Amino acid sequence: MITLHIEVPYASFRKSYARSLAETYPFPPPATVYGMLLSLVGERFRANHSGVKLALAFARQPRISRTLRRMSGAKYGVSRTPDFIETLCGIDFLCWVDSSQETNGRTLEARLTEAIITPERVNRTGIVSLGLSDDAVDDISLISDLPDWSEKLCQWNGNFQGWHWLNPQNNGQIELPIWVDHVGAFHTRWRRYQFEESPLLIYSEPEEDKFTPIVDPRG
Amino acid sequence: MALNIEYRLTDPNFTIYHRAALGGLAATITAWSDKQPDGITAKAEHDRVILQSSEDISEKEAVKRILEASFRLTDDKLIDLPGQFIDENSLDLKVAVHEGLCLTFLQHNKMRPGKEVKKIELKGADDESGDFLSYKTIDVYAHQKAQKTDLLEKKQPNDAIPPTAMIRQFAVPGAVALLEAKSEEVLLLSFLAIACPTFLLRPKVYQPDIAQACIVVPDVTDLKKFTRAMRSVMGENSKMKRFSHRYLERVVGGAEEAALRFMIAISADNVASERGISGCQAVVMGKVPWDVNQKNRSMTVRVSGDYPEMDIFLAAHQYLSSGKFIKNKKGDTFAINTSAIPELIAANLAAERHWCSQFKILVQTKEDFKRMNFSREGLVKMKEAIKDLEDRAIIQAFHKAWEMTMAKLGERAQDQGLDFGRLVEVRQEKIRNEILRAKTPDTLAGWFLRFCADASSGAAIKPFQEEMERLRRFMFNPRNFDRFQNLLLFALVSYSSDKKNNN
Repeated sequence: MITLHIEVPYASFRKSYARSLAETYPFPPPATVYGMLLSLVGERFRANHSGVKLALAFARQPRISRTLRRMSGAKYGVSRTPDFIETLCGIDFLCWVDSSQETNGRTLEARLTEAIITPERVNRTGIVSLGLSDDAVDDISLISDLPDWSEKLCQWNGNFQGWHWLNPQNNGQIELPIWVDHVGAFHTRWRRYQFEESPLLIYSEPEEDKFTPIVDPRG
Repeated sequence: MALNIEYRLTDPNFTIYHRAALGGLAATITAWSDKQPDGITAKAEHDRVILQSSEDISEKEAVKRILEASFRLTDDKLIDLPGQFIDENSLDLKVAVHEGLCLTFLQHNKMRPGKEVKKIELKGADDESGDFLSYKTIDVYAHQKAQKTDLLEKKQPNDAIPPTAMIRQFAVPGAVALLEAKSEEVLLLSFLAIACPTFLLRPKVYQPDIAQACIVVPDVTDLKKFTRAMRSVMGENSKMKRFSHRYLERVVGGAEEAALRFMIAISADNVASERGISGCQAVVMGKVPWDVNQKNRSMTVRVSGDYPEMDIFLAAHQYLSSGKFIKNKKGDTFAINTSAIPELIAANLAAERHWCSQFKILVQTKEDFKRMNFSREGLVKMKEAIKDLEDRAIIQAFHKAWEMTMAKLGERAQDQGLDFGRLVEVRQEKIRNEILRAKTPDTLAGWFLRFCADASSGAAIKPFQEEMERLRRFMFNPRNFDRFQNLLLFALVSYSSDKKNNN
């Protein structure tokens, strides 16, 4: 299992049922985080790391701002008129990647470690973005000693109080896609989450129930 | 092939729309009672709904029968949704629901063809003849035939429903692009219109001229409890007439106010244990300059109904949420809401702003300021509901100083034989201008200290003596400028002579 720290200044994660107003999910969906990790290691086939498990904890709840922009007609099948778009600001989170259930050759864990430590060995193009290509990632770093790193973070930033878990929960208030069908919606899969309001300093690996398995529903 | 569908509230693939739609389906099944459609067996439990048909009817035929029994029209060609439990005699409420649905789920004429315009007479509380309300009749509407979803149109072997169908605007409003989903989901989402109360918006503060109507989508957590609560709130035996039995109750200032009204109605004492929802999402449909053909989704807002200063909204709702009918130039009756204060408070609470934020908009002009006098009772009740100690201290200090100022004005009126009322009015107007013209935190704090000192002829007034430290910290923090300004304006219009000020 590896721990990544990811910072994205702004991004928009358009809700599946959002039409003329491009609402955003309140957190980056696991499906999008998985996509970003695949992009980082230069993987083009989504199913290649099916079975990997992700756990997410946020420094704070990202704020939502609303702007007027033009949407991509090609991407969303809408006319190129302007529309209100919601954008998440200040996305700062930890992502634990557990590849113990992966079965296809080299694990995502190993490839991510390689991509961060020796990026010259990775064959990929473009900048790393979380979702849309305009939503560039500011920082992805590998955290080897989380307790030590958290302690330093507390010293640097007096306002930092800890991390807020995004817990998978059957009756949670937040629904996020964990696999997106880009053609229709038949294979889109969701999971419900609850945002932990009280921050915690995390010193150990997450428990099993904090992980979301990313599994290709097409088999 | 017979129909056999089981929907579970805990299905991880269900969004808030699916859960609300499931609530609508459960409510419809409850409304059917023992009059279920022929060949259909429907069962609603706390967390699941089962739809089954007998072997002798096909899937498509079963879906047709379910839709026919769920989406009806009255003899007056008004939309009739049994799952909403609206009393037969509440014709004005039916018109409000009809209008709301036409502005949201059924925007396009092709989804609800009909040409005739009918009028109903609105009767007052004393059964006297009142105004006439007109509405456009409907011959048939999209929900009745799952229009253009492929659910019933697409040919399939054994007359089965196809594996996938299309989600149309009448299921999830605001649709521009098509969205494909499993047929069972498309059928389920048709019932969203039943679970979601619709409101007509008359905004004055936020999004004026844009917002037209809104849908309140409840986040359903228990189907049976939700159904019982809806029946209790909307049904013929409802004691909550404020929410259910008046056209004007469906006319509100903003989406947040609509959502909070719904939450209040559904959380009221006698249905508190039956609530079955954990919050609401309000979706605003409004005009946008780049699309004149339809009302677009222009905002969504999540409302929990659990805010620290919720009592202020409750007071505003109780005393200031009222509407009235006016006639336009053509002589048609049009409903408006009389006060923008509940709209402002609800919008602030939902956005987690200070409850009084932007209050200055409501007293920006002299006419608006004068009109506030008609809302004094409600404003006083709002003042009494404030919990925040800093807010209370500022308002108390202002009221004490204003009382002393008025005493001086009274003496002057007596000595010089002037009209006391006029003197007070002029002074109030001067204060309003002075507060609004203060552009920096220092100017505002300086003005307030001078106002208090002038009132007491230099002596410290009692609220200042008691809350000196709290007031000092609040006033001289530049971050509090907007809040301070809005609170002073609120204090100016919410004064009432009571014993609390006589210290």
